[in-house]
Amino acid sequence: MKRLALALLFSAPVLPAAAQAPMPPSPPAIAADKQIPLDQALAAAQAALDTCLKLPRPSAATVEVVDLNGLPKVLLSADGARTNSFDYMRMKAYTVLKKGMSSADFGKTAKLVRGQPIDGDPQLIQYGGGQPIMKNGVMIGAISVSGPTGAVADDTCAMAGLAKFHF
Amino acid sequence: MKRSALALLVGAVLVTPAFAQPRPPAGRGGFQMPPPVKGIAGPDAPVAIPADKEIPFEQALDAARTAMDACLKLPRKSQAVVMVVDLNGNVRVQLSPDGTGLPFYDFARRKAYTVLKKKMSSGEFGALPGIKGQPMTAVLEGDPQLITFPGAVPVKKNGEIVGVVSVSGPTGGNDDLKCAEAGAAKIHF
Repeated sequence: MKRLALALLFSAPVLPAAAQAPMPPSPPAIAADKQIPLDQALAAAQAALDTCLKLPRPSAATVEVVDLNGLPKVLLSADGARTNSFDYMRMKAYTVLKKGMSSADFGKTAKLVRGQPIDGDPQLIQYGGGQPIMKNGVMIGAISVSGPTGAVADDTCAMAGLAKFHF
Repeated sequence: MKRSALALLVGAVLVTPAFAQPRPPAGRGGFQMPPPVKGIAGPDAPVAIPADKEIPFEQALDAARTAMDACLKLPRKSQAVVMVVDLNGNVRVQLSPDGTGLPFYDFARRKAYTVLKKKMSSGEFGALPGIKGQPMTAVLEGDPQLITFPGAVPVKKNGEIVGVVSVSGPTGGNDDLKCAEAGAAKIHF
């Protein structure tokens, strides 16, 4: 008995501290009529990537279609895509979801101060390439493109992808 | 000559402050920098992937589709999140079937991370002597991103890992593993 108590005493501090760390809140479930069908998302992402690869200056871009929680429904990255494209793509999608407009439109209105995050949010970005996916006038997700040839080309690809959605 | 001197001057002005002043712990203007987000990449992942270790896009897409379809055609249909990941942990292709659940995005990512870090399938890591039987809440090897569930397999080329096919769905790790293996079989160099 005494040995058991001793063992318990010594075993207790072994539990790792991180195990008790609070989990981040899980995002809410998305209503059925606001979910993006996979076939349309894949067609859109492929159209966007194909457009990027066939531009006069071919762009090895990354493309994602995200749902309202920001989770990628489809993510495609071209051969030779740069590592930083993944971050820009994600930030553009985040900007669209948070601001409810294309990232290019947001960039026109954003107050940019060199060295400071926009609106105090380091995830917001002013570059074009992210477009909201609208269904009956309501946003249900975003399509986001980032490639090495710049925001205007990215937006061209995103628009080509966006045209594939039909609800 | 004048131009290069100017360039040097501009360069010096741009570069110097970063070295001269230690960075303040908090950001400017009352803004607090968020803690760095730990990427999916393993600690010794390369910055640039050599051309012979890149997974061709067409094969990555084929593998992801095959894995997803395999999961959807199981006797117990599994809407599993599927990703093909490169050596940096960047997702080459990710597909999330309709009706999948929220946890599977994270599990798929952590399984891929585990493969890249441990250089073995996530199930093999979970079966290691010191790891097997650990409680679900345990932080393994001090890294909360590591996971023991099967479902992610390394993609190998000439015996070396060049990426991961990772699957996570509602019917469990053994089903995930079958789908991942079906997907990985589509990658041929």
